[in-house]
Amino acid sequence: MDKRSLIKAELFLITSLLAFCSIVYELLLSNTLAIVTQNYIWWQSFTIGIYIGGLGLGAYFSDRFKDTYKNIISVELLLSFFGAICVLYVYLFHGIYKYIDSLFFYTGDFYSTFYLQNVFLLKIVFFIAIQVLTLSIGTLSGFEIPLMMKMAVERLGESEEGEHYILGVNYLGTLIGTICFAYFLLPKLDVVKTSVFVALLNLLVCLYFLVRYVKKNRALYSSFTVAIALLISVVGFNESSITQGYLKFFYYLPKILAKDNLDFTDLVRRIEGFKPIERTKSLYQYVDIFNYPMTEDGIVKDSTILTLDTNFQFNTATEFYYHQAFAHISIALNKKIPKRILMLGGGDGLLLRELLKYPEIEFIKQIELDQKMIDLANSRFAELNKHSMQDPRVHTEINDGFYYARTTNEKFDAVFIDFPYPNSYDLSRLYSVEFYSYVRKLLNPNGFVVLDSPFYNKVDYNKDRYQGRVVFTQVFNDVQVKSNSVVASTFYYAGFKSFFPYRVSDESFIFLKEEPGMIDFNFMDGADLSKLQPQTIREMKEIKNQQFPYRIAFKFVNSIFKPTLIRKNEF
Amino acid sequence: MDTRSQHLIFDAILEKEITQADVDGIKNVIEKNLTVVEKVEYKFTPQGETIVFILSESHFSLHTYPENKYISMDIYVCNMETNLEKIIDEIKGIVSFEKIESRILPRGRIAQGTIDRSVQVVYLLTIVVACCSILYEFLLAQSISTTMGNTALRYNLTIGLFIASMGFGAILYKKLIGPDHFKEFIKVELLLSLIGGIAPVLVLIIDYFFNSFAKISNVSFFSFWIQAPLFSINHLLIVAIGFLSGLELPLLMDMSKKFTTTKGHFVLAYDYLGTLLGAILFPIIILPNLHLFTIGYVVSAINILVALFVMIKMKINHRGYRLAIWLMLITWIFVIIQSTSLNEFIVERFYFGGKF
Repeated sequence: MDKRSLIKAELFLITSLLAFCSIVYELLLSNTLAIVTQNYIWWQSFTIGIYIGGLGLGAYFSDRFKDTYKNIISVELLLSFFGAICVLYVYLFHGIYKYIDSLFFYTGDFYSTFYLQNVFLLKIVFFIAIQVLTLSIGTLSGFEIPLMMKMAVERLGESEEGEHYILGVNYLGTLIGTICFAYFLLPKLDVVKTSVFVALLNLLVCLYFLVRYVKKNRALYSSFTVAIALLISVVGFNESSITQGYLKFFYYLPKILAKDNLDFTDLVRRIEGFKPIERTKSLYQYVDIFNYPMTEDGIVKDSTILTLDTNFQFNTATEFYYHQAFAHISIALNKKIPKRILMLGGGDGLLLRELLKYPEIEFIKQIELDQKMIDLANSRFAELNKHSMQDPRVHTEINDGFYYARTTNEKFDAVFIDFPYPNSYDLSRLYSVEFYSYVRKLLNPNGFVVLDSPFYNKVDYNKDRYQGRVVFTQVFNDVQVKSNSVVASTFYYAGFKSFFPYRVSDESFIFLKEEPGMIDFNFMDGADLSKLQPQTIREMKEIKNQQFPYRIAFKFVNSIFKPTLIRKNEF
Repeated sequence: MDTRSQHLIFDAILEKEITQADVDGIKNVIEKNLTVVEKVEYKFTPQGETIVFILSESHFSLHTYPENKYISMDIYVCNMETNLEKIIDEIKGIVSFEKIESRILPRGRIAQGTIDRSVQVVYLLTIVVACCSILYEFLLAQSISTTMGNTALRYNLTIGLFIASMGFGAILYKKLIGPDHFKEFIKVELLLSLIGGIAPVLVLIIDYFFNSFAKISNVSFFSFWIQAPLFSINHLLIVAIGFLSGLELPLLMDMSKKFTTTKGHFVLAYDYLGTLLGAILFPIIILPNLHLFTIGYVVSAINILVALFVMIKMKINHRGYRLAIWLMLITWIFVIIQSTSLNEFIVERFYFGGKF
């Protein structure tokens, strides 16, 4: 290889490496933010937009640079510094944000901290704090292309070719970065390790420039390089305590606040006192399991909580309310026990446990997306679900529920749908008019569908239940009427003419039938209550008094082609 | 047109007598550096000479006063790129002067107002078309995720592919684009409007055909032989739009150079601004309020309007383009008016496979 092509190879390799690092930083930020804030749409698009805006700003001001090599080293040093701390930075600020938010709206209830994020000013401050980092990373990355182009011109002479190829190779590095991130870095290394890995890569490029091209001020640049290398190794070696520290703070915040002592110096020690969060990343989601002792009637009860992508799924101490209401009330409403059942989701096996109490049920087909959930149901939660997954009547298949409903020819007497709440456009697919049109097609005559879905009724749903510290009253407002209308209209237009929502223990369910007809409000009179625990029966008596305001209109329909569901006032 | 010009006024006293070699030397330098269209030379009696060249850049004039060893020279060029200092240096290399008085006057500034507005129009167009391009990409990401699932992965991949194919567009720009930038721009806009507008619908149709094929041939829809071509065709649409958007940016940079001498950096910055705008508006305002397909039609219509605007503004007379622009504009308007029932039909036919 002649000297010229060697120079070209060197320049192109470096350019693509730098592009790789930059896009991974951006993706790290947007993905971490999406997970911690539980709002994919806003954060991913804002982060991408502001990053691209930063690239523009960088390109705009890039002609002010004089000494190419010194500048690129400074840019790369800064980038690898920001890259190394970006996940930490998000964790830190989100922690502070949650802490202050909870001080304003404390109810002491694990669930309610997830609902009550409403201080607008606080959101703006959090947003600015985070996006300053995104903009910095974008701007610094924006300097890279013009600097590398300048280097190409300096070393290869004024040939337009060099410039265009630098642009092209840069774009190629970006592509490799996105693919590596989605398929390898995020699933295998998770966010903190990825940030360490990529920052290190960036620092290596820096070191290469320093050794090969810089003669003056070497000591200064070297000391910065060593300092950043140290920082990266500190982050790298403390990866698990960083992740654990954030997760513990995030999940145990209500407990941290529940103590009378709000002293900050005590905070770290108290966080360390909690048991670690078991976090695993499946192909589709983060699965977090953690111990969460509950105090009920003065007795501390041991309980475990499971979340998916930090969204609450169940608590072992209270799940029976939910699953009994899900299984038994719907069957009581139907007045006839179904023989063939389709279950979409519910990989934990807890709803199966309740359904298997009916000897009349002959066949349950279960469609679950995530193998990880099935594994958990068969091991860790096998006691809790009474080995329901092993029952000969249960037939489990790993598949996408949407795809199964769209393609199968099987028919069922009842469909139980136990999906996560629609927090992203991806999950909102599972609450769309298209999906429910397919589901309706699966029903035998007089069959029913029951699902859990966000649906609001008129009562104040937090009535000073926890030690009477702060009373928070949820006011029923237009946003909730609209949210209800979206759900109700979607089912109506999917062809379900009977629609009956009910709420048990802060969980809302919807019972659907294709055939029009009135729901018998005295359904409990003849029902067999032997399978229920007394708490559930107490709550069930309230159902006939519940009021759910909503309107039916085409404009509310949630379609995968026009998602209306996730228009929550959160951020 | 850019009316900004440079006017060199050059007075000098020679060290020695003016010779024919001096005059020829100056003439040669002019002929070498500028484009001479017409020459007029007149010798006065008893002495003195006036030479006037009409240049395609404007004009050159030289008056000699041998009795005073004095020459008076004017060079007027109607651009800002010609390096007049360099021409003076070359003349100085041939003729030795005792004393020089020269300056370069800026000319044509009086008509500058319209120029600035033209550049601003290019910047505005940049914002609009950049916004359109990123919207096409988001529409595709969303549309593909309705058929192939996994929205988060879809968006990541789309952004990566979009940026990469923009790079390929930028690399191949010199090879593909002809000298008439305005015409080429209209061509790119027409193509973008066509592909971008129907791409989200196409994704559904492609999915329908692969599903039907899987059923007929009894191959699992999730098998490699179905998924690989399905994936490729869907993502090829992203690449096509990215590639065309990649051609757009250097085109706009070149267009801006017609009106200003500032570098393309500003166009780049406005391009990023448009992208930012699209990236923020789409998920928060546009998608929840309009049907996915309708957004595609509207963005396509905007792209066509941009093409129409450039055609009218630059007075481009090309029957084919004019016909194509009006035809597509009318089609898109018709489609937008009928969008509700049209979208319903497409979804029923291709998404539900005509089962309902």
